[in-house]
Amino acid sequence: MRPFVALLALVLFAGATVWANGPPNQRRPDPQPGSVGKVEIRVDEKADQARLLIPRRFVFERRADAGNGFDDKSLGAARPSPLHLAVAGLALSLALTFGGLWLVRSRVHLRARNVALLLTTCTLLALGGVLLANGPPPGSRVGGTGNNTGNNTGGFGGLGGGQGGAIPPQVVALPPGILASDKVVVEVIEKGDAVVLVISPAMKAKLAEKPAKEESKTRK
Amino acid sequence: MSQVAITPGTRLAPAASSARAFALTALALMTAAALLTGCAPLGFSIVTVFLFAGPHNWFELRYFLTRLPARWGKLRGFFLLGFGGVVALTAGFAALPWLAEVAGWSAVSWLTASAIWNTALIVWIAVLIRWRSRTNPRREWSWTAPIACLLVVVSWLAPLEVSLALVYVHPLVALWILDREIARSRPEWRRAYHACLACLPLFLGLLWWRLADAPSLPGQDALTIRITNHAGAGILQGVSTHLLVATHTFLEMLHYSVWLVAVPLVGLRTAPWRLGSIPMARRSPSWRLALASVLGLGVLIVLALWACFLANYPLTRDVYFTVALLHVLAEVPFLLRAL
Repeated sequence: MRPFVALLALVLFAGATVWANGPPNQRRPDPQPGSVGKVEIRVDEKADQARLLIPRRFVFERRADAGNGFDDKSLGAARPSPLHLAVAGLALSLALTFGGLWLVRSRVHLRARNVALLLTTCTLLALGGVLLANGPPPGSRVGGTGNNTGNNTGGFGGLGGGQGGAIPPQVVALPPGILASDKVVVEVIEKGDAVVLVISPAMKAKLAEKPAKEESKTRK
Repeated sequence: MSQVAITPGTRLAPAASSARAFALTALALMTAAALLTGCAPLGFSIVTVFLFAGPHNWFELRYFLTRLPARWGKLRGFFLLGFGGVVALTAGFAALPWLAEVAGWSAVSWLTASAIWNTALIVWIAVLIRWRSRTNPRREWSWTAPIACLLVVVSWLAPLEVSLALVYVHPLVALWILDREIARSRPEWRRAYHACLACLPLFLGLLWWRLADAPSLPGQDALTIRITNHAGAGILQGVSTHLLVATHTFLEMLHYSVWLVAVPLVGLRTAPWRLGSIPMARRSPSWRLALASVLGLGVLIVLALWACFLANYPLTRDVYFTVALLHVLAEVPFLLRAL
């Protein structure tokens, strides 16, 4: 029994030490392809700027499918509020109280090994609490700013500090010949089966020019 | 003398062979389920839910009727709390999305509502455990109170994860009920059954080992998203949805097998339409008629469920998995009575 207690103590202590200042789970979700649908490019002589028309069913498809009005991913990213932590703390206190009552009332004789096991577990729990105090809050998916000055809105005491580094944004490179402009009006339309990009004849001419220039460069 | 020597042998031989046949059948079923869920998780999930969701609920109802005493007596409070809790918790669970829509809940409000529901479930089970421990045969289960409180802690810190755990743990409850039934009716099978149970982690381990790096399931249609979300894709981000759906479908298949094959074989030991084995049916002819009507209505609901699946599978699947919480919760009081 004693070797078992010693081994348990070693594993618990080592585990708490190793994870104490660990960064939050930064495993990035696999990129999910968007909803499958057609893309059309229409040339409108009256258009003075580009417009992107997206049928509503593409925009809200995932939300409707979730069934509860929420995307599970956004729910998963939500952090427990102070109310959650308060109730959890209250329940933890009750757990300790009921556990103590059970221990006192139970007819199990407290032999030396049981006492040792109990004391070891309590000590490890206390040590773990101290060591994990400045860790990330439970359930946090993305870290803060990479230092200890992160926001502290998510919980009591030291639970809110950011330990992990921020995930850098992905840079998406457009293929040559496609112009990216901030002058695109995005509209959600009620009906339709395709995402439509409405451009003016001038823009079409520009798009046609680019590949021609690229081709002539490669020939040279 | 020779008769004494032969009689035990002739009794033991069929028992041993039947236990071996039971274990081999169970292992073959587990192997087939693991292979099919590993290779085609979505297709297998769709087919199994379509085929077995309704019938296994009917068999559960039939089993519960068999285990329900004719007169509740001192157990009246226990069963009233049990059935009241089943109905109230299911109604609350079904109302959550509607309330979220009407009240315009934020994500944190939704988490709070989930945590409250989880807490209600844990408290309900804890009270049932306490009630059960004070009736014959009495049990010393006071250690469950601190554990229930610890579960409440977890359900407030990670409410979505606890809800997901219910999805994965629920199929295993059926295995526990089967264990109690085998201990009661076929004790000679228990050793073989435990050997099969010991293989369950091996099958799960093999599935996880093979599918840990599998790409997520490709479909983005409504049905695929429903199935992957039900298996926890939105919560366990970064885990392959292929792995999640395969694991969930494998456990669900075991659950269906227990209720459709094993429990009728071990627990009922009679044709399910024969009402003689139901204690309440022996009270009076009117009770017999009422129970026959309930079971007949159950058959009609199973047929209606199949028709609805054929008409609109995704919607019916959604509705089914909300209402199906009834049978998940109903297992709790009956399991406690069996312990």
